[in-house]
Amino acid sequence: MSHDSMGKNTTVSMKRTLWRTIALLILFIILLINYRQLIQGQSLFSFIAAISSAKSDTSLSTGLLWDLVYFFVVLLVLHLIWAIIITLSCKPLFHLAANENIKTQYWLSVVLMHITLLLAANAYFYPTSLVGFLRATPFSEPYFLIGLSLLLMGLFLLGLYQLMTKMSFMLFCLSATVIVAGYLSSERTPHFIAINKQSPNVIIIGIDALRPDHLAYRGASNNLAPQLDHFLSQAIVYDKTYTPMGRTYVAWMSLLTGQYPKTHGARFNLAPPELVTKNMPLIRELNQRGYQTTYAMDERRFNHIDKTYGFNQIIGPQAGAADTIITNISDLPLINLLINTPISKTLFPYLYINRAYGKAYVPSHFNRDVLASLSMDRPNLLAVHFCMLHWPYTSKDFVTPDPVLWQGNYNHFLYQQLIKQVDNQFGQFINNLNQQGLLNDAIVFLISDHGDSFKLDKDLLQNERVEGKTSLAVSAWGHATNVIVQEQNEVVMAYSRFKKGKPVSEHVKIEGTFSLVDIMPTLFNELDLELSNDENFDGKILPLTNELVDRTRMVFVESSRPVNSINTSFIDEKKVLSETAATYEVRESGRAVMKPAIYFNLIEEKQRAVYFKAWQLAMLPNYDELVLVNTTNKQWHNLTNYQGDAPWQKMLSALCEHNRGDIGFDHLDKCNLVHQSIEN
Amino acid sequence: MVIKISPFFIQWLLTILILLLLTINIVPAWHNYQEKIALTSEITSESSLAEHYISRGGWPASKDNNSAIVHYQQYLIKTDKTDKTDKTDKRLPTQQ
Repeated sequence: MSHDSMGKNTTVSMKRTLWRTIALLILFIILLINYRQLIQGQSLFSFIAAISSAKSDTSLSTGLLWDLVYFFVVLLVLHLIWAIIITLSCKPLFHLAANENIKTQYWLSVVLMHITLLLAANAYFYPTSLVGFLRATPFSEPYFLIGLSLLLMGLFLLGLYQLMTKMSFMLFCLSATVIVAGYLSSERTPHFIAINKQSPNVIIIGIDALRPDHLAYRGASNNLAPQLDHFLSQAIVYDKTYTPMGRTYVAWMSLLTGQYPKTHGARFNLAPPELVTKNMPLIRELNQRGYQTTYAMDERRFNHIDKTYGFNQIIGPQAGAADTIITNISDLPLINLLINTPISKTLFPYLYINRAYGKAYVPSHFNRDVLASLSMDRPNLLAVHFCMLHWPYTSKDFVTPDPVLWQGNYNHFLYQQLIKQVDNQFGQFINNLNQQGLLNDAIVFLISDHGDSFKLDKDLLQNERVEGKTSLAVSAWGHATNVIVQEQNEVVMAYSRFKKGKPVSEHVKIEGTFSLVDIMPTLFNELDLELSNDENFDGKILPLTNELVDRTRMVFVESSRPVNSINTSFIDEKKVLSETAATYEVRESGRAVMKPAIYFNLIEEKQRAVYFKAWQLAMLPNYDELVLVNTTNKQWHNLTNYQGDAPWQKMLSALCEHNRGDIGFDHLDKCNLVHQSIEN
Repeated sequence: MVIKISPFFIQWLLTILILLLLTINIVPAWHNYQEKIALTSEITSESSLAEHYISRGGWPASKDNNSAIVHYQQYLIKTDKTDKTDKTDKRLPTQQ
């Protein structure tokens, strides 16, 4: 550092430069947020206003406030570090400057070069970012990015060299090299070596919203999911499997407990934890057997399964109410560029490997983290859920427009495109499991948690006898919004036994009526586990051949709460928040939870149905008739007009028995029809 | 031999560089905004894929592969007349 009068001036100038840089970077962020608002047509404040307008008296909690404060402090510190880097980069240029005006111009040039580099890199790595407007220009090309990076890095190192002694500078460079080399050399692929060879790995893979009819085994011919199709072509596939309730948390709770929602208590996403049975016998038993139990999910807005449910570890973004706010305001270049670095897990726990922030989500990074978390010597129980196929269908990269797939249905078009992406993710995940030896002895289940409906013509239910309009809606958008829309309830379920990396169970499509609750009893049977005396499963052991199928089996489904703002072709997040925010409270932990009083009220509004062979019988609280649906020919009937031979009495009896005592069930006294029909 | 450059000349060069850097960023941003204005329809459900690409930044095409933008009228979204976006609408999903 210079100690003459000129040097003293330079020191003063550096401090001033730092403050000026900070001020300019703050202005830069404000401009970007405003630009984003112009493009998107809605402001950040209107989004927050939508939450606060819900008159939720407990919308703020210590946990939520802490999460938001942490996020903004990290953002501020990062910009402060950036400002220091810019200021240091100006130092060598200031030594060349003849007067203050030129110094200011050097400074402004360096700041603008840094901003340009950041925007260009953001556009290159995250082209779907709302502030990625440089994406179609030469400035987001690699040669420009590398050139500008080298220039600015050179200026920074020169500035650092002038600031530090020669020895300190050398030490800094050496440390930086060691850290980078250490990180790069740590990227090795470990191999699984089982200590206990009697215990296979148990792997349950869930794909959010995957519809069976979009896969080859159900006749889809457009080859949207070659990797999934390949897996299913070697597995035992259970055709006509239904989700107990078409919401992720409830479906997974049903799967992991082997019980219907009425039994385990999780009737909605974000159900109050104190009203839910967290007893998961499989997790408990496998923990006792020395398994490492892992639950992994790349979006946790609606699914709060965590270590309190018995798992050893949870992989995925942090769960909490701050997720919704942070993912909506985070599309800024500095955040985007840091989000896929290892330090992001600490800096941005709500954004790291979070599919809900789709613009920066890299599926292979989630896969990598899940695989890295698995034990390489103990057997693993892994339940992993991939969420890319869920609304809002955002993606880090553009996808080639396909006029063949375009039918004017926006959601369905995007859904089909995202199937390709989640299919790649699944294929890569299976390959990596195999490479690491985790499939040398493994039981693998592939499931989807629910379907999705897009009001496709082919999905519409018909009724030849009803003339004119009926008050019954036979179509809906989304999932768990209408229990008689079959595409919402039907899911994928397949089983495969792996030995030495290859599936050994013979492929077969088993025709029957199955439910996700069947997986737990099947695993208990295969792993030779036993329930405690006071425990039981609602599910049944899955058959391995068609001859073993129980033809008397009935399975039950129910809907979620009615939300008009999601039953639409264009979901507006503000409207959803506005309609639903008052239903939830934010607990001290920072998590949003349904208010217990409302939770019980909403159970009354549930639609409930039973499946038996090709038939569905539904009881809808807002419709006076029982509805009978033939799922084969897509015909629906008001039960009072029905003249056919469907075994509706048996179905109604089972539906009434299953839901007996449930809040609001059968307020129209339809269960009496069973007794009347017996008397007649 | 040291070439001495006039401070005035350096100032001019730096002014040009600053203007250039501003232009590099402002022109594409403005162009992007103009595209958004041109493609924005009043009713969301009668918009096009291109509008969603511009305004949501998530889909469907890059400008390198811009058929959905150039031929945006081939990618119009069909209206769903049963959409219930009004939160005062108290009908349930099973009601028409």
